[in-house]
Amino acid sequence: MAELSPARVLQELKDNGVTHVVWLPDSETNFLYVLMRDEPTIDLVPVSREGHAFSTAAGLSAGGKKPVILIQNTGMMESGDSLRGWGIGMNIPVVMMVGYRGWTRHGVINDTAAFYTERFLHAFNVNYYLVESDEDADRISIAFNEAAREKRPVAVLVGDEYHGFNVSR
Amino acid sequence: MMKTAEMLEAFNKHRGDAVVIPGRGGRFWVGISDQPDRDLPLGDPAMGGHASFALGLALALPDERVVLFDSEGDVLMGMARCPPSRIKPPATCTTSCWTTVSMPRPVGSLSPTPK
Repeated sequence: MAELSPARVLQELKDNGVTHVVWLPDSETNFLYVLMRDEPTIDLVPVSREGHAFSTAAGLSAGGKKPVILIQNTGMMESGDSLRGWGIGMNIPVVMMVGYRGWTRHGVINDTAAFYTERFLHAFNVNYYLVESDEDADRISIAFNEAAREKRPVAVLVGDEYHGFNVSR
Repeated sequence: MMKTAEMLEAFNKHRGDAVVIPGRGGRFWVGISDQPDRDLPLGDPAMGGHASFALGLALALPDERVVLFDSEGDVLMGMARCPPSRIKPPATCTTSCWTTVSMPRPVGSLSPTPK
């Protein structure tokens, strides 16, 4: 199966004018981190818990910047009230790229993190796009356009978290 | 005991052209501020996020002085915001807090208060 390359993800972020990546450091996205660190047009803003990502992104957006949130599905669910108040409630046009821990293509899910991810997004009425490989990567731009148009958070579920992001290339 | 409104009135004399996020004191601040176009009375989006919002705003506007008035619980919830940050907050970002039962007391700054 084709993989999602961090370079392709970074290109999507650049193409959409992202100025700041608000993220919680984790091993799965480390290679993307290395690329972002060396990208002069993007500033990295690490957070200590994912709930802070939404309020930090709201502040950046209020100041005229274009943040993207990079977290895992576990942290997204921990951040429900922040997503509600600082994202949806403040009409922040932000894309959150969410590592889809536990995602499988065959439908047999043994990880509750994956089981509840889309249910969580449905509960908050947050639209989302699944990205599994480079062929899907243009959905990231679709998400950015939708977030700007609707003035609300839109999610990109990264279903290749345990493949491309871990591969050195 | 100093009231929240009294504290905000005292601050207003020294505000300069700072962008102010009045936190839960917003209901008082809107009647005190003489620069409403530089205020961000957010209300209560979600507890614990005001400091992060202020940091994001300060990062977006590095040439502006941003002042946040936060409350006890918010500060406690946001306390972990600073240590893991490899970023250096702008020197123009200041946060203070007051309690509901005593004098306003500064509990720290994201960075030194500008001269």
